[in-house]
Amino acid sequence: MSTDTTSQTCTITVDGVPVVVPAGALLIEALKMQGIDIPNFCYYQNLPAQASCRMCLVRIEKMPRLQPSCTTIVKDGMAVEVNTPEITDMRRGMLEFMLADHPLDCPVCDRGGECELQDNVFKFGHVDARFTEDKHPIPDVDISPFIYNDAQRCVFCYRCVRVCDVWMDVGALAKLNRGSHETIGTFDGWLDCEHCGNCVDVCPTGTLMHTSYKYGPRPWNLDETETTCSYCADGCRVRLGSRGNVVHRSVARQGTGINEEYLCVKGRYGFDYINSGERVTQPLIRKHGELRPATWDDALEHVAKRLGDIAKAKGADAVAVLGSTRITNEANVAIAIVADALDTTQLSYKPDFDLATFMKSVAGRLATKADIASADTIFVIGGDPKEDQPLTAHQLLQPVLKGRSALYVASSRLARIRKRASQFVHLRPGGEAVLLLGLAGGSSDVSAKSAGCAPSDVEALRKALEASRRLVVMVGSECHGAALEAAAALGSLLGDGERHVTYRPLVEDNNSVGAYDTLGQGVAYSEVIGALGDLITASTPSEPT
Amino acid sequence: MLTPEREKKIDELLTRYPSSRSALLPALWVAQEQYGWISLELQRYLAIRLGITPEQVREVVTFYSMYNDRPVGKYHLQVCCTTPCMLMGSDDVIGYLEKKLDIGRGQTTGDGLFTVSQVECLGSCGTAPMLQVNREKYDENLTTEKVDALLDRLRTQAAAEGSNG
Amino acid sequence: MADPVKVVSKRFGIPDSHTLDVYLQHDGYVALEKAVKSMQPAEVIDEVKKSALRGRGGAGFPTGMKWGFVPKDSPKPKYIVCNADESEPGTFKDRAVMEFDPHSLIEGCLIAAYALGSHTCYIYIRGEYGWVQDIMDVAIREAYAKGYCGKNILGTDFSCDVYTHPGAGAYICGEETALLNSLEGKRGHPRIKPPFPAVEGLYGCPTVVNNVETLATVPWIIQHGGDTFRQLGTEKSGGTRLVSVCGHVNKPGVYEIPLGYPMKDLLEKECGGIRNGNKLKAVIPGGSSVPIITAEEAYRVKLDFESIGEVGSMLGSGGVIVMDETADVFESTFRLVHFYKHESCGWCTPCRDGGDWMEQIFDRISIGGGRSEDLDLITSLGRNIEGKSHCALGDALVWPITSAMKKFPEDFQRALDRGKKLLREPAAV
Repeated sequence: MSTDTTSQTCTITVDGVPVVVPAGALLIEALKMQGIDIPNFCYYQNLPAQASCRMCLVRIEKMPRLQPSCTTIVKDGMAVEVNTPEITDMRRGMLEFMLADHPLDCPVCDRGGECELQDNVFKFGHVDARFTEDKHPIPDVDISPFIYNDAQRCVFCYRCVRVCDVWMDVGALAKLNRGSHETIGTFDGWLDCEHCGNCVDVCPTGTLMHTSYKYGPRPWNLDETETTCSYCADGCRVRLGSRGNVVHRSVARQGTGINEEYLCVKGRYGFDYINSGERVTQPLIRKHGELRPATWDDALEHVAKRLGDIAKAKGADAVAVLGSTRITNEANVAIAIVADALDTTQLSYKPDFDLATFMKSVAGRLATKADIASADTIFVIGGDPKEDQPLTAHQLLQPVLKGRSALYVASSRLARIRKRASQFVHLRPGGEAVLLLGLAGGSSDVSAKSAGCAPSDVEALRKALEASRRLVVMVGSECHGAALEAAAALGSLLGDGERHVTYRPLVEDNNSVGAYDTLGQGVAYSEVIGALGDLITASTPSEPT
Repeated sequence: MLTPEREKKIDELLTRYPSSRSALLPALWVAQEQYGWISLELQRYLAIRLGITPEQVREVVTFYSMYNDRPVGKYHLQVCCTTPCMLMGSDDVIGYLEKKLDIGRGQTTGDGLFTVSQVECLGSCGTAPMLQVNREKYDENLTTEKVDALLDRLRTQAAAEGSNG
Repeated sequence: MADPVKVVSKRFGIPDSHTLDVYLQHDGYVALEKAVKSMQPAEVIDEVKKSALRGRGGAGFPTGMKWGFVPKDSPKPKYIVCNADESEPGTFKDRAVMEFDPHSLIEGCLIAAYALGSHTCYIYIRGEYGWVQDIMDVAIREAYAKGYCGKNILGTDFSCDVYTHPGAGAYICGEETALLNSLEGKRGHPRIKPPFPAVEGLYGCPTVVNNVETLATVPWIIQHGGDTFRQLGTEKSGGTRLVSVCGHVNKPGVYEIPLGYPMKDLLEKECGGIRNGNKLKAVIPGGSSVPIITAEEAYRVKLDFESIGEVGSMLGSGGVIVMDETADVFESTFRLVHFYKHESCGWCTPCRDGGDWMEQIFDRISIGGGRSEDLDLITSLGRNIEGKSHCALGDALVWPITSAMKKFPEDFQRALDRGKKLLREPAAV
């Protein structure tokens, strides 16, 4: 079938009513577009089909058995029944089976209120409880510091297992035992994984749950605030659920950000600092060796006076103003305004990545999400996207796992992303630049010797990169100066014809590029630090006299 | 963790399939032959040996009923009790074994010699009732006398092996 | 009827029939030689189509048609997989073929491989048949040594490897796609169909999965012709087949009968009648998954796919379970429910949860806790399982129950009444 079928349509009849749907679509998706929601548990967009929960069965004309709409492709003229007594009974029947051994502990289940099982039972379920036999209780167990498993609530949709296998490429969750004894579990009872928590997000019931949200406020009592994760440059969209002044959870579910439903361990679980009692939440002024609460007016007046005194005594440049790669552009611009008001030239920030050299060298050829998705080759040098930018790692791995692109990694770290690399070159620290020069046509022997690898490594890598036509080079923070220039030159220096080459800096902080844009024209950080060296190393805090 | 002959057997198994994961079931048999059961340690070892994940091994070990993921007696007496055997008196056979060995189903005798299990159809319906010791050839058309003789034979065999070292 | 012609079992009973020497003395590898030296692969498939051979594993799918589905022009390797995971209660015929005539299976595999352009055959043998696998392995080594297996078979340019592969105790692996998953080293969950194995099977390559007896029949068909084979049976169900008879008969065992053979003759002539001169009560005619029939139906039915269909049951795997008047159909059914619950792979909701629930109800009834509404509940649960499960195991759980309830209501009523005898008050729940 050609790929343009998605733009074509076909006509099917649903309960006797003809509707036009995209040709080649999955029936369940086609029906959703018509506003017909087919209940399901195991179906999940972007996960391999499973057809095990049997909730989405529909009657299709000429088929002897009911068919799962999650695996059926629409065909022109197909006649489907989705709302007949037969289907209604079937749905009730399946829910009744799922509830048979379910603990029915909704009142104490943290999924209550946003549980797909609960919702579907309310919508389609049986009112009479016909199951009067014994249940098989299974106590809930912690399977990681972050996640607990309440196996008896499971409906065996295996979304979690598939997410772990397919999205995350981790495979830490396993299906254990057989038949009615089946459970979700791990190899030895403890999760050996990245703790991204995506398995919890996709769970339709209260089986896999966040320990940090155990017996927390009910979901409907949470104030949910859409915001941006501030840990790395990926900037995932999260919803922080809070009650009063306490943040209880961070989710991406039903998110619409670039991360869709993905979060990494940082964005998912790294919110507890917000609730920390040690946070500074009001101005403090030190008096007689002790920090004492003050009003903002007092504090601002105090700072303005002290800065004015210093400037008067030692000259305006005695005051340096530092921005940050971790705050917003607006805040950095405000900081620049303060520096301007103080008339100091000592404005800077601490960079986590040599963006000045990088930006100049790549001259605008930055890789977009689309470039990464459509690359035939991805080359990571001097970094590990799994650590630096987990969402980027997730996105670049998808085509790699599907065999549509090849990944090459060269790093002095044992980068975790190397697991799926066609080739991994382990470099001596600082060996990035010489390796790149070797790739760009220099002697493999010389390059290998200085980079701490074998000449054959360099040759194989060069050959692979030369074979590429759409190349993305991901440059990590281990690359400095010459290495950055060499990386940026790779596109033009690689042999064997023309190719489309784009670059991605694997910056570590969430607003490195913004800080570079707003404060990059200021004084170099090292100069500021040099000038203020005495102050920085002074052990006594400054105190008003 | 495996004897050299068994390692060689696994090497040979790996040549049979285009995917090493395919060798998992036969490799688990090789491992169980040596130890009588398949510990987590052994599962982890086989995962490395076959180049798959430990989870993939564990999923399989817990799915198939013949792999023992906990220790069993030296002789695992597996009595078929599915309908054809039941019609021919398998319940009497397993009941007799339980009484004689003074253990329940799934339990092991104190000397570690025998475990009695109720299992599902072993494909010996025409020669029912029957049982299988470990993975040996079936003992068929059982009577209480035959069960006695079998237990005596296994005890003698165990004693002989024990005295041989 | 004259003495039936033996096709699959003709070497049974000959001393050392499992050895290559004896096999060669009795037409061994004649058909393979004929196929690889004088027939085109398409001709082999045609001959099998002509024979009207239907799968002997249980579903009875026409073998020639199955072979015909394999895409001829696929660049991928093709695989022949023999389903020797015989686990259907009441069935033990494939074991007899492998114990007494292993070379006929190897020859059948090789002919199938030649017909379909395959170079690798796997024989998936249930884990419990460890010693049967040993017999097969010895036979395969013999065949390799004499050039019937391996490279350049019989001096032609046809090469093919044959391997055995053990299961490890899972009835579901008799389902062909579950078997393929198991052969790939995974849990034995049935796959989503389509795609069917003929197009995307083992390792995603075109694969034919055939039962032991089916493949062991192929050499005879190639040697004697498809028409000759078909004429042994009925028009729609060609040839002869093995049936395994167990339960309350005097001579249980494996018998080869032409399709269309009367059940009455099978029970009385081959099997020597019901034990102790008792009266026949019920027969499960095709392995435990098919509906049970009464004595009256058994005595008038013929053993072919169509005639058994008329009394609401199926020929299935050819496992005939015979029960005399001493049998309690409630108890025999309860044991089957336990079997299906134990063997459910857990993939889909109705089979996994429905089977467990069903077993609990039977359990409660059997210990005297039956309630008057239980039969309606069982029927209703059965309706929610049948036709809704991912594979046929769900149906196989329900059919024995519903047929038993319909045909032997008195046994179920007696079970329900047990509690009244045992207890003054209704059983605690």
